[in-house]
Amino acid sequence: MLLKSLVLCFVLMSSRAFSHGVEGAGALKEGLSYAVVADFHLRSASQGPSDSVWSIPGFLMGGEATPMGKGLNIGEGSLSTVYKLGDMFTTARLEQHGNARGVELSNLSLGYFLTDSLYFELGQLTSLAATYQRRSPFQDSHVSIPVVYDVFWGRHYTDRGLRFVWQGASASCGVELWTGDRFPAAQNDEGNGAGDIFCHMGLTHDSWEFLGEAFVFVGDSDRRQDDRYEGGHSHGVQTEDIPQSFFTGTVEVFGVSAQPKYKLNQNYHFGVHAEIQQLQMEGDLLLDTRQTEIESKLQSLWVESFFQFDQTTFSLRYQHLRYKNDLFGNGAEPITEALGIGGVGDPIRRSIALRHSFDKNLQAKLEWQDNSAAFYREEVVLLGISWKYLGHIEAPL
Amino acid sequence: MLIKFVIAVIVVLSLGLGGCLEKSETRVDGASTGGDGFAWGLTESIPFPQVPEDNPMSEEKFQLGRHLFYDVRLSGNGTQSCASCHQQSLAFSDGLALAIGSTGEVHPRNSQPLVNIAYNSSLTWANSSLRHLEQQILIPLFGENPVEQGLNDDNIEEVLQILRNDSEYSSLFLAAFPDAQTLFTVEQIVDALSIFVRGLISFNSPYDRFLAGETDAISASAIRGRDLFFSERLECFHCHGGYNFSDSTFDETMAFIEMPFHNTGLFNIDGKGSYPSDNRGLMDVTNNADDMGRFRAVTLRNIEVTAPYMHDGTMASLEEVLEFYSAGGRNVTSGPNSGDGRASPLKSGFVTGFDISDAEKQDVLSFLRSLTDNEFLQNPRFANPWE
Repeated sequence: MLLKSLVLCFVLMSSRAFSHGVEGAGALKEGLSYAVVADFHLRSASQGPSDSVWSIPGFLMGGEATPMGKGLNIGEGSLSTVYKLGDMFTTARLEQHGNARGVELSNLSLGYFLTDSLYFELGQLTSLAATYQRRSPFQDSHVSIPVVYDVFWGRHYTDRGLRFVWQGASASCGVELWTGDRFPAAQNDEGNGAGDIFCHMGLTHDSWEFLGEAFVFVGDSDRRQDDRYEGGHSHGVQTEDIPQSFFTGTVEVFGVSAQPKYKLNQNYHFGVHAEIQQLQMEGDLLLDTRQTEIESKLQSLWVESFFQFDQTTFSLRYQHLRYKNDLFGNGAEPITEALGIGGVGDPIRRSIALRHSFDKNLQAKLEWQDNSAAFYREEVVLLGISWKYLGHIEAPL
Repeated sequence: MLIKFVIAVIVVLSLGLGGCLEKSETRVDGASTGGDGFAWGLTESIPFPQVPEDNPMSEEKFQLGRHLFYDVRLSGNGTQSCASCHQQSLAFSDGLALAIGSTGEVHPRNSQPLVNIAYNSSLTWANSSLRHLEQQILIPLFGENPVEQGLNDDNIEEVLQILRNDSEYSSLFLAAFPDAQTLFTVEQIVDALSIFVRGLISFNSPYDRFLAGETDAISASAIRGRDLFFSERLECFHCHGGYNFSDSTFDETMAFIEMPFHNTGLFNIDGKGSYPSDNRGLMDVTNNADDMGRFRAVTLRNIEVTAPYMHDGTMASLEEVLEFYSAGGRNVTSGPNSGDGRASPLKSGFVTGFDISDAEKQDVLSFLRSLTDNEFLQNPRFANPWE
């Protein structure tokens, strides 16, 4: 898979047809830029049983992938700021994720442009690999979060680290080095950190637009725990019902994505999103006094087509997960049972969504989901509303 | 140029899809011992216990051990067998508050039931150094403080000779140890007794049958009692949870041994949590002051028939035990051991007390009685072969 990612990078980077800039620090304006986002949605059913730990059968979950409940949910409430002065910039992000968590400072960083196209950034950052991790609900056609980001990334990878990013006219590539203190890695006493490399590209040609991405993430886990329900985030689940397992080993995630888009005219667009990710992990799994060796290969396919007419977008999304888990040793069977990684077949989610933008700041979405990515098959209807405000104050303050 | 990109996308995604797994699958290589072919009588939901490599299970050793277990000749004065203090009908306990040895000496502790001992992560009431029956059985056989079966260097040869003179034992020893150059050794006796005790397995109570799908195996009251037992309000399950109803449980699926011991607030003689000097729990072994009054949580399987309760046998009934935990400890109001155990600084955090109605008490008791395995109590396989 690494080879495939490099092939994609090479093929796409060899093109000289870039003309569509990619989003990044290079686009920053002098002064203070800020964004406020508020996103809420209603669900017709909770994401799994409300009185037990939410997990996708066959997969070990963690991070911040907490389930959404029936009724009103907070998708995101955030205030993001970037202050740029000369070659320096600093970012901060206050965020409320999900329902039960309080507001926290999720991002705080300091950056510096070494050249016009090369910068580094250091602090608490959200990874630029797998771009959906940084995607606001406002930018998504659907209400729900793609299931692969819940399973592979614990929703998103935000950690303390350092990154170097090169930004060309239509592409950016970077290297990120992390303390490895977040799912799917875990630092604790003996974790050896994490790191990733990524390339994003964007281009236009006549009526076509294309966005592509490839990344490789490698992380080390020392006694990684599923801590989604800790720290007052039990979501109604009795804490003694939460299996306390610990994973120690290595995790690798590879991914490629492509988003070609065709503009029929100024008002009508058609496009496709295709994304493949693969996670491999190898190590030991402990549960209470039991231990087993585990080797897992997990794959995700996300395919989506959309049709945009004026301010309205209609999209069809198909998400398909697969797993192959091998567990060895005396503790293999009870651990498999207790953690629900025996699985019940491929988790698949099919969804249809309609999004309407009332203006540049306000949009509403309606989504229908046919979901087998839980212990039981379910159909869910979601109704969401997102609001954002972007502002800028000229430098210097 | 666009065609170039589209081709690149198609190629890469095709490569990715081509590497897809065929189907989701979890393969488990449990490396179970399969019980080494011994007739454990376990259901699928119960893992096999761990057995010392130097004393593997065999039916022949089990049968030899069974004969020895019930044989009063295996004592210094020929009056007491293991079964004297471990009677099958009482889940291999004796119904006494404190055990009495072959010479009449009173043991400071209550005879523990021998139920699923194979799963104990440590043996006896409070001894973290006793992991295997092969170590522990030497204590009732040869122990001097107190004397139990009263074997010693002076009489052991005579006792062995008595056994040698029994032709039934000759065939039993030969079958159990066919490769041994010498038969009738103390080591062989200990090994055979260990195998028999290790084979005393009880997982066929009404509650087990209820869990297996026999919905009318226990009463509605017992089901309510189960919910109370496993509730945070009563906290029982923290120390008496799991398939063996004891947190001191170890089986072949486990890699790490946990030996939990708990101070339940039975005594608080000096206001600092002290227990009577002749019975201080784990502290008697570790000499660590924090271990004062800490004892192993016994299995609750067959608890209905193993009265009296607690390490010193001071509670006559399950009702009394439930009252004790409801009060969050025991207040001893007179005598040399007086003191309020409820206020003991060494008491377990799980013994905090709880309010419980009379109806709820009956429900909990119904649940505890549903753990009685009558088949185990009457199983001829475990019965006295000399009768």
